[in-house]
Amino acid sequence: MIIDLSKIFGKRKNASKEMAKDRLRLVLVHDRANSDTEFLEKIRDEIMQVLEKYMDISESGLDIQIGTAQSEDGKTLVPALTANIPIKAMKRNN
Amino acid sequence: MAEKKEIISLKLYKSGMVVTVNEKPSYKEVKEALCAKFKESKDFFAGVKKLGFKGVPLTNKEYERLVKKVSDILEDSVELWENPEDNEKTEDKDKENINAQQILDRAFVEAEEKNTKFYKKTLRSGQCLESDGSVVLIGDVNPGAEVIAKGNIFVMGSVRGMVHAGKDGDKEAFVAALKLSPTQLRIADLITIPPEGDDKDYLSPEAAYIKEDKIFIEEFLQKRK
Amino acid sequence: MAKSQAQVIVITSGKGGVGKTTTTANIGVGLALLGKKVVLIDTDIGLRNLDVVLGLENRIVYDLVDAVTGHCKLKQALIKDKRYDGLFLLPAAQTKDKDAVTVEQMEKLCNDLKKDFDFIIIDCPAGIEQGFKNAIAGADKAIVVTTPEVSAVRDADRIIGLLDANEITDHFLLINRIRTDMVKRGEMMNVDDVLDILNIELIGIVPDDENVIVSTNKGEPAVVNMKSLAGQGYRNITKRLSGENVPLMELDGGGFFARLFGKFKRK
Repeated sequence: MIIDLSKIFGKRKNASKEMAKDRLRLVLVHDRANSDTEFLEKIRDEIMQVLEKYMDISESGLDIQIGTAQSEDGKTLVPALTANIPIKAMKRNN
Repeated sequence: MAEKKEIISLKLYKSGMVVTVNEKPSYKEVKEALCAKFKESKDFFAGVKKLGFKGVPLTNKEYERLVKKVSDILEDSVELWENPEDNEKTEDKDKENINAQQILDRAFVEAEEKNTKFYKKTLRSGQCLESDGSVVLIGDVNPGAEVIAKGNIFVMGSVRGMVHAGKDGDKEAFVAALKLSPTQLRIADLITIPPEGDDKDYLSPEAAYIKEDKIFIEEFLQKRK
Repeated sequence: MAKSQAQVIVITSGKGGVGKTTTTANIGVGLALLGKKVVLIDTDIGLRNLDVVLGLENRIVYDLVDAVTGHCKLKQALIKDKRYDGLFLLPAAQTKDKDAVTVEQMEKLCNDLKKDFDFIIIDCPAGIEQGFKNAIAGADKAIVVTTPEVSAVRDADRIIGLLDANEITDHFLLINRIRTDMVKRGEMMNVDDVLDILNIELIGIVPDDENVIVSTNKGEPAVVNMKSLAGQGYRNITKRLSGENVPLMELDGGGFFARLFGKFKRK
């Protein structure tokens, strides 16, 4: 007879609902980003505005994506915004 | 309807048969049409004792010759029915006494006139079979499906959906089925729903028809010997 | 009678099978029992079901398509439920083309009905195509039905986004089929979990209850069954819709709904 210890001690770390939540969070980030096509455009434009104050960047080489990355503890995947921005030159501090 | 009107049409009453002559024909044409009908369904017409005529008039002599022809075909004595219209009126009152059997019998006489079509399929929810004439459906009518016909509806199967006979107001139209437990049943402009708890597990062939401006549902096999 | 504040509420979910139609029927009957004049509109053309859940399937002569296309008068298409005073059904068409209704026609229909009813509850088809667009066209509020499952929650999120995009920002979540035993074991997301993810105001919760199936079999919504837990959930929801303050039902005496109480009292 196997006794489910987690039931007795009320520990639910591995319970399936946590998996459900984690997976949902991940998938919803993608859904929300993808259902709004202007969303990434806006982010891109605003990041550009900020960065241009400090450096010359190549607009054509700019790549912004919603993807996934390992979480800090390395156990789960978390949604992540990845931006790849080639720098042409730094502006001089005046 | 593109179909040419038949030369004659027949209507069966309790006291006899009335032949309506539909257009101005030659006597020969009427005779041929009448003989053809009677020969075709000799067994069915057996028992007819009186033959009346209406519509386009012929001469009395011609009537008598026609009656003679018919009695020869039926091998039984048939007499001429004078003034069948009067009788029709009293018989209309007599309609209180009609039963499912007679209603069904009528369908045979009217089969051609009502442009009967045959279908073999099961109608499922969302499907609708519409007809300008009468319908014989071999299959079931499931809940959510509809059969709508200008004439009669005869279902060799179970009716659980909606059936509407005589959709253009033909109060003589009927619905017959091996199992009649429709969601809703309509004849002409009358609508009825079966009483609750009426759903039988076994097949019990029933016919629905209008009598005294109400829809009656009756088993039609019980009266067969 | 002046009916200034007619509410047009669409019941929607995105995903099929989460209980939209059951919810529509229960809320409708529940509101009628509170003395409101209610009309339920089934917009699921070709797959109508609200009539069966309500036990009115044999009374249909005209339907939504007949009413909006002028084949009959609107009043002729409304089926009065003889058991519950003030409740009417406008059934969907079953054998007609599902694109037979337009957004404009739905808007006009809702406006016309506002004159005579306190509540107009619209049962939305599953999916996000034309049927969904028609269903939300005339609505000014929405109840998004979900269950504590990933697929249903994901679709609910999509629907909330679409409602926002269509300027129906007055939307509420209804969490259906909660199983207390599974929630306790941590094998099902609880109310907090779902709200955390969807971040939307809650209108109520409905526990999973066998009575719902029994009720549907009979064509008599669970809301009238005083012994049914789901019925209780629906009764609470209808009271909230009619403006009463009702605390969220406690499913197991535990306190994990405490936060939601607070949430609701704000209303």
